[in-house]
Amino acid sequence: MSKNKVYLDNAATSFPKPPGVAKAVLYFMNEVGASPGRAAHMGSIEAGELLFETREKIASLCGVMGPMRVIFTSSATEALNLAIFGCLKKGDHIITTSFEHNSTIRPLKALEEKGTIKFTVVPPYDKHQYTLDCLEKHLKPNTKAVVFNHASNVFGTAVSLEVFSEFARKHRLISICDASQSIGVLPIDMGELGIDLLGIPGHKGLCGPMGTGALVINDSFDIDQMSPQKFGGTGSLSDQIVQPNFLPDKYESGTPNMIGIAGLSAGIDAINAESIGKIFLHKKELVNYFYQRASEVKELITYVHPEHIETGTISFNLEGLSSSELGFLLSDRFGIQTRIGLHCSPLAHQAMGTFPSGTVRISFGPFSRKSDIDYLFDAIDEISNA
Amino acid sequence: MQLMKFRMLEYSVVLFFSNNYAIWTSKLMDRNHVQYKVIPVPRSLSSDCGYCVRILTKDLSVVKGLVEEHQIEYDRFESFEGIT
Repeated sequence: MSKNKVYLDNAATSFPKPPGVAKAVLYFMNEVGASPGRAAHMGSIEAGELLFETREKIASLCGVMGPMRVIFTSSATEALNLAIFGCLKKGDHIITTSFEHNSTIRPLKALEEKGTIKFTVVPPYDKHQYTLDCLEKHLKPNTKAVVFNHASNVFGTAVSLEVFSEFARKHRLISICDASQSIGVLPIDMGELGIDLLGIPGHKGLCGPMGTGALVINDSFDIDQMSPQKFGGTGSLSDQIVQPNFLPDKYESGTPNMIGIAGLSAGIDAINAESIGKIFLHKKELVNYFYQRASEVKELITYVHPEHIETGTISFNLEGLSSSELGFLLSDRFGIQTRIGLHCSPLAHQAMGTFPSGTVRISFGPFSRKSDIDYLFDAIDEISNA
Repeated sequence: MQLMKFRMLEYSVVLFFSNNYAIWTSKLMDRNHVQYKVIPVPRSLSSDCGYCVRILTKDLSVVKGLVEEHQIEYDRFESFEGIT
């Protein structure tokens, strides 16, 4: 086992985190510790303030005016489950894409298998882009929503938010966007675009701890269209046994993950201090450098032109080795942490011709460096010349 | 046992359906330099177990203006005699 450690799996979760994140987590655990909104003592109020400020930061990042329209969840997956199970009803038809992660396609499949909905997976217009025309071809009279992944967790490509939001607006569909890979890297203005529901993780681009996420609800979205998926204590209307119908309590039951949210708040501060634009350019620079080095290795196979990679995520293979063998060697001999296989996204691999063998995926974070790529290519050279 | 002696004063309180809105309002007060205290909802006013925002009655119209400007959902404003 190698003693070196190079982390290139930021699409799974970002690592390392900015230094303020662990500090904020420890501060909350050691100094605050109380449950927000459940009592009027000073600890509870401080926790409530932290919860509110984090809502404000997320709302501002996503172009939403109302901080109460940020619903905390345990992950983007839980957020997207809330949107999908909460909005879709018997007889609905859904349009979705070939680049979905299992976090959206499995909930859709589960509803289809129960006989509740039907859905159409629309192939892209070219390799990874969609147009209004190609989506409209699949419309049915009962199409209720469009569920789409902003950026592929396998190939780092991004769809046009403008195309999907125009499609939804024009045909009065609910738009449900999976921003797992794009939040904290690409700008998303839900208010401007009119995207109804956005599922985000707290632990990827926003650099918070695992176990955090949110569903962001556009100011214009009528919440009567989405039923809650969790019921229970909210600290509000305690004299009643019915679930409150106002935000965020309608969808947030149970004690929130305040330790995680404390870290997430610090993670967002770090992202804002650096700026999303700078992080995007940093990742672009690393992607271009990877491709420059890749051109020197004739056995290396890539699948996307670097100009189409928006989130610092690259899939590749090495001739003569399976993705699992290459991933194992990189980790075991060189301490390089990548992700191999299908990345919970079989549809994306089918669309790009890499199913079922899969790829090796590397994904950069704000702290990745060119020297990590040099080290990766030293390892690839050594493996390919062995 | 001898109970502590408190001075009582006439205040106003804003009651909310959700504690989240009480915190939002308190943040607005901070930002607009309005005096306030977050206190447990007085049992004489509501059976809710959460908190509310206590303000000086002289600031009532300013606070009403802020809450309405930001479209914060609230239950009601009440007069209340509380411990200073």
